[in-house]
Amino acid sequence: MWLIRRLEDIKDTDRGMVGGKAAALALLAEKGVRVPPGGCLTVTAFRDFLSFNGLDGKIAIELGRKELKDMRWEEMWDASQRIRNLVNGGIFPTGMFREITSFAKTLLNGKSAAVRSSSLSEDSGSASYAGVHESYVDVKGEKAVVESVRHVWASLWSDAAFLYKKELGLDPASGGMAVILQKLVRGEVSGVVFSLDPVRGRGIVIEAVPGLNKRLVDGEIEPHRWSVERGPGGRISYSPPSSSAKRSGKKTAGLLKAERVREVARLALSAEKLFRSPQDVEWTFRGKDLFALQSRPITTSPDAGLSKRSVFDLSLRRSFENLLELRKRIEGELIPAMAEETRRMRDKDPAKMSDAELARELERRTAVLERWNRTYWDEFIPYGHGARLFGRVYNDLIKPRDPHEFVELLRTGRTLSMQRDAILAEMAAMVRRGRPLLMAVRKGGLTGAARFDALRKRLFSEFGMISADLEDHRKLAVFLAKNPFGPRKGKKGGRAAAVDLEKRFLSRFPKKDRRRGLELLNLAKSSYAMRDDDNVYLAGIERELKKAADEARRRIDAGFVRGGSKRTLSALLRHKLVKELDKPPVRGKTGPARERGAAEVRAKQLRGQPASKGIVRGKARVVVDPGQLKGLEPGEILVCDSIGPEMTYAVSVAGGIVERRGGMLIHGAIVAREYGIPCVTGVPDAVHAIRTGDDLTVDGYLGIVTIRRKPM
Amino acid sequence: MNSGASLSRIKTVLKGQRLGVLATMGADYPYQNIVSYTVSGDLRKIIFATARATMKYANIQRCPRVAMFVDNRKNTEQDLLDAVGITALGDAKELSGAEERRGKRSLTACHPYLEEFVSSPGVALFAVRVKIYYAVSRFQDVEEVVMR
Repeated sequence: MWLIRRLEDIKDTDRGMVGGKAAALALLAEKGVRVPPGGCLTVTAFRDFLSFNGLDGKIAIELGRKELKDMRWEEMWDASQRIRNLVNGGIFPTGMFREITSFAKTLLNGKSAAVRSSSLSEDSGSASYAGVHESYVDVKGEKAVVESVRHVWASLWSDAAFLYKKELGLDPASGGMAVILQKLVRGEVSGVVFSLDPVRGRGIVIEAVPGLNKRLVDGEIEPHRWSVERGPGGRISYSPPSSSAKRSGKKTAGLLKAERVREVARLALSAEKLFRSPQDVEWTFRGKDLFALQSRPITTSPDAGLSKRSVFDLSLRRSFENLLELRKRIEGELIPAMAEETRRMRDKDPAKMSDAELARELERRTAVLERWNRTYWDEFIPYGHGARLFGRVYNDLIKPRDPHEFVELLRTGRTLSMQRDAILAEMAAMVRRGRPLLMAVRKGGLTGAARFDALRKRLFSEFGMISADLEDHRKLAVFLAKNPFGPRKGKKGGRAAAVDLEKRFLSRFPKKDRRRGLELLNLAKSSYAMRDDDNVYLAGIERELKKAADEARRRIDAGFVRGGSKRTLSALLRHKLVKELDKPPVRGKTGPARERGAAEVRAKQLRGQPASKGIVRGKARVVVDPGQLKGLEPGEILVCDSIGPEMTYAVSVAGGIVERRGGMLIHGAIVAREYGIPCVTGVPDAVHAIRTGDDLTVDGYLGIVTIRRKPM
Repeated sequence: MNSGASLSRIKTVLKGQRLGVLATMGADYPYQNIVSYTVSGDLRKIIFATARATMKYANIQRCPRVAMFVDNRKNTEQDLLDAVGITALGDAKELSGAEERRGKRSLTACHPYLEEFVSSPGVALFAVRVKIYYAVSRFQDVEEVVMR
């Protein structure tokens, strides 16, 4: 046996082989603290596995895709899933597989295991890495142990690990991962004890839950809390979980008697003495026996060192149960409420309001938009995790070659953008075939073109068309005639393939869990479509606010305000949207800035993230302001910072998409996949590195954008 | 794009290496050799020496358009992340007179062991006037730097 070391054989000098967590457990055991029996799969196994499967190079390519400092959390999540997929697809060298399964068989004797991360940088004292890497409890059977080992290894590159490394300025390629394999101690009460309250900076804090402490560590369950004064016979005070106190009215849940509370406190103090710093110890009671599960230094909080944005990003990782609740609320309450709010605004024409009414309406609509913007960030954005969670489960079960295969199952073809594009396609077809329609348009009306007019009204009222000048019938007709809206040549058999994948996915669940699998799939489909739909709904509210602001602007420009006092006028002028409208339109610089001097630097090939498969070559159309979309010629490559909801119609016309904002699940990428258009996202500085008219090749398989230029 | 940063990165690689791969145009196929070189401070000239009896000398006589490739790989997987490859495209010109003397001084300052070689009558000294650099980093990021 050479890859696994028993906990009792680990010396402090082995830290570089077994990681911080395993070294700490071994020291606790050596000093007589009760720890579950087990061993540690050293970092040598991790490195051998990577090398055996040629993963070092593949992971280096993945990590080299973009600098960590330029990556959004969504891109980190995607990168971490691609790496997890590489590790999932790796083969264990026979000797290693045998050593792990044989150790697990002897250790477990048919019982469950706990498989925990012990990274080389973990628990170093400067950063706790709490919750950054993965651990699994209640793992049944040797094969499941081996699978858990893979997932723990892959978690060296988890999204949270990337965020930590980004903020600490560490190299994402650094580190190594050892894995602790232990017999699961199925305690009746478990929890965490802090030898020094990280909030108050004094006293000991104990948190406990019934059963295993996984749900406590994952933040899914509120614990019972005890504060214990340090020193012999220190005073104990108890706080029940807020929910149970309300429900039962009891002062104590009786989860831990005072004697046991003191025993846990003593464990924390012994660990603190042993490691010479305040400790956060996970523990469990089985019968009368208290076990230490792990001990690590306290860093002021689990989020220590992370920015507010990173803490928010990590909060997006929701549990399945949480997402199901969110779905109920979003589909049952929020979307109907948003639609109703928009409808009510649409029914109130700002042009018919007095100045005072208009000023009040502007304030009201601003408040409405702010409220929905908050809801968007608090509820809609976290809901997007439904698709990510599904992707992870799918990849773990199926181990597909393509880590984004799961997206094929989520495409419904029924997003709001697609519905809008279907209307555009029908109108475009009418324009192309209908001479009577063109005649009517030429005469300045739509008499005899009732269907066209109905569609036009629906387009503007429900989706708010691209720009105000398209309300002019002639311009709209030219626009429709010019752009080939309509069905595109999609992948043949796409739907059938998705059905096959769906069957394959569900068949991997044991019969009793299949319903759960279907529930997850349906949740993911809804979450995926909502990534586009929520933006369309929000844009509806923005549009109604803008209508009121435009009317205010019009009255101010006309130099009169009807029946209004000076106060009304200044209220209108004060309004931030009206002020915004006073600014000249944004016409951002596109193309690389030409520098005076010795050399001109131009991007030749740029790398991003593959977001929709396919390869296409075409002329670039760089769009900084949505108004510039009118210049987009069919088949051109749309290059932009990010595709807003008012821009998605153009995707159906474009030959390919290049976006600065990165992620597989941003709505530009979603729409591109719906249409089967090659798309690369997360290309740094795309709108400046590429010029309109550049000859581009977009490789949606590899995430590469190449600019062809004439040779010298 | 920042030309200062790009030029500085190119300079770091070119100054950090002693050998590069010179590609010349053969009658039918390209031809490549390892050569010792030095680069001017403004990156406009790359100087190397070759015996006149060599194939590369004959190739350059026929077609002076050459490419020089220099990189800083360490032959590990980490190269995919860290290595930078620089390709310089330009015209090679045989030096003579004062230019040749200056060229020899700068080449031997970098490669003192070439003193005897470059002084040999059978050896020609060339300067490649660089027109374009291509810098490839992080495996697939490619930048084009046009020297004006």
